[in-house]
Amino acid sequence: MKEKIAKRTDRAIADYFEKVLLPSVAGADKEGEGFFPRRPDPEAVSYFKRCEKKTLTGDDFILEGCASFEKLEEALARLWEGQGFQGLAGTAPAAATLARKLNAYAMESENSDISPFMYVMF
Amino acid sequence: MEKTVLGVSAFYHDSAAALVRGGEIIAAAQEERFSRKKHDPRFPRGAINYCLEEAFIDPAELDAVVFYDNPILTFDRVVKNCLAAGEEGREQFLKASRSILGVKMWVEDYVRRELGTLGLQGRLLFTRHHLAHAASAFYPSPFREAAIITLDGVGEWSTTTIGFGKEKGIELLYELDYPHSLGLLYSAFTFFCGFKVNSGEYKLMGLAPYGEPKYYNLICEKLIDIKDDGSYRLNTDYFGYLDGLSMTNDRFAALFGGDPRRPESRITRREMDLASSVQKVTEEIVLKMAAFAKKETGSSNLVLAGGVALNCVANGKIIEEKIYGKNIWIQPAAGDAGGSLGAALMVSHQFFGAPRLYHPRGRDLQKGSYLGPSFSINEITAFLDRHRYPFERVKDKQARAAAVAEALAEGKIVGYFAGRMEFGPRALGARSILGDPRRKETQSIMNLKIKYRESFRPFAPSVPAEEAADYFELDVESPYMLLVSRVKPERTLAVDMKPFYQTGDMLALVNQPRSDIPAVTHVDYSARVQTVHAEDNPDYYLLLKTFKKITGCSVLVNTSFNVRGEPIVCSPQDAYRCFMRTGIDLLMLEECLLWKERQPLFQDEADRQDEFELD
Repeated sequence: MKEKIAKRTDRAIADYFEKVLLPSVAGADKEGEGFFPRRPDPEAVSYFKRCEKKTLTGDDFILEGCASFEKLEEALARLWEGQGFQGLAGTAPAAATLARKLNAYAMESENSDISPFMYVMF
Repeated sequence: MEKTVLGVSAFYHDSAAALVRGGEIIAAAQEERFSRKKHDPRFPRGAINYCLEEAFIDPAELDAVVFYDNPILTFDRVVKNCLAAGEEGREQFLKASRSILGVKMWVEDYVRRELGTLGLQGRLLFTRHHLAHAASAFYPSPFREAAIITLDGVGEWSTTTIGFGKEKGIELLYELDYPHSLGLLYSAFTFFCGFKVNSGEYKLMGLAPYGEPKYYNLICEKLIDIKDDGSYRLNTDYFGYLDGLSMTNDRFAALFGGDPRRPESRITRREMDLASSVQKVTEEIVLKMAAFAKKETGSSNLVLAGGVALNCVANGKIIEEKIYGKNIWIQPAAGDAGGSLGAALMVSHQFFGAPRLYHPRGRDLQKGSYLGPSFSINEITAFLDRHRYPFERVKDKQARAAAVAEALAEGKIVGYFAGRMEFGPRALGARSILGDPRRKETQSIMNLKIKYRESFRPFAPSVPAEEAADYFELDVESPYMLLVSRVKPERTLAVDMKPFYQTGDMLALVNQPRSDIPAVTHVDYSARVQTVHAEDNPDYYLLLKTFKKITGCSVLVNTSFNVRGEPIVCSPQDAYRCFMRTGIDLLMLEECLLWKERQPLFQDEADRQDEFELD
């Protein structure tokens, strides 16, 4: 049964990657330079970049996107829109749907061979 | 009112939990010690349970529970990495998305299920990975202000950060992002040299002195560009981790003359030289970065965390170069386990605004890193009596120290179990296997008959803090075995290198005494020193002093109480099992002494070699 579910979820992940994610960035630089540089730059004096998020205070410690699948969809869309990746932002609903499936699978197949003794002696 | 915060790290490697109250560290432990699965990445139920018991707190009373990184940003990185690889990113995305989208994103559910509550906040808090590392380095340190450097494989996106801490505030100033990672570079060479990633890096560091940095120029030409400020960028064309499931690829292999070394096969000069070369690269980056951080922050103090901060050879070079004088502090649990502690401290100081605490005598607040569980004498004797394991109870501390010291002086190997368990990968005299460093056969015996591990690996010394300078070129405290220094030249012995150069057989070097404490002197005359302070561990300190009275030597071999592939022992039960499965002669469980020859035949269902996967 677990194997059947695993195969279904593999299919769901593959579909999301091939049919949703990849097409969302079609036409973008295939080398991925739009996401990150892949090779050294001899002209650069330094590779350090200034931190955008220097520290955390108050609400920074709260991540609404990890509270529910719906909020994850909103958070991903907001993140990718803010970064200028409109195509990716459009995949947020599918990401949330996939998360729901994968979480259900993870709950079922959680490894149960953790020691029951924890801190006790014997 | 003091706030109590539980920090959790999980789902990467080395899950852990830590509990902080009013800015004071109350408890911290790695999950592997309870589950007995090395580097256990699963949700740390056992460690959390322990922390709550130690703090005597009901989960519902927790002021906050915090996770050590941001899963949404991690997913962002996973997506973009796999998309950058195009269709070839599919396999990696298959594996990564299960973990991130299926498990890590919903860590709040795990907490709620396990604790029955999310504490008084009613929700799980989250930090960022490198901020958690930075906090773990700065807040327990003795410094009111310090430059902060964090270096690891990768967090969400950051792999390296430089920051500044002052009083209760931390700010990150600069960062380098994935895929450009010193941690992943080192792990790539770890993999290529046939060791396991995330556990074998230490072995690569230990292998380096056997080789020459012959590949340094090639690495700098093809694999990495290092700038004057220590920032760097990799040439990802040579690495497999972006679009595959392996750290290196065929282009990497072609650079270094062929396929990666098969695990457990013979180590050749190539691996020794590769280890030496990548170690040189690492040290160069760390030193340049340390200097840059000093210039940018204006601070005379430096704190370090992140897995690369466990590279104690590089740490020792910072001391040697006197960039910060003696003012360096490294978080003993510098890897991901320490993220749980850093997260809890971040929330304590930055969310709740707790003032910074300072040690009255200017020392650190890590409490010797003895932050795990201890076991009462009643628990121990009940365990021994139940199984009818013969023991001698020696209540007097002096008499007990004398008995153990005498055994060590006779060449016996001792399993030493006392007090609270260490937090971090090093044994510091709470869960240690001890030996006599003066005997040249100690290293071989301990590697082959006790630890069952590779024989080239060196052992580390413990020495009373005030006597360290008699043996080592070390004039700073090193209570957590995070600094490597040289054995004093007047103690060293010349070594005949010819047999090694002719055959490449490391045993030709290992078996030659290199100093009057040969078991803890590495082939390059270095040692990874633990300076023991009476305040941190009075019993272990007493043992060292007693050993000196008998032998004239203040040093002991101190290695972790476990065999290869096994987590360090946690409970007396774990300790007894390890004792009976190895060549340890004497086991000390607090006041109880157990001699091997008096023990009954050990009925153990599992075979050690089947139970613990080789690391």
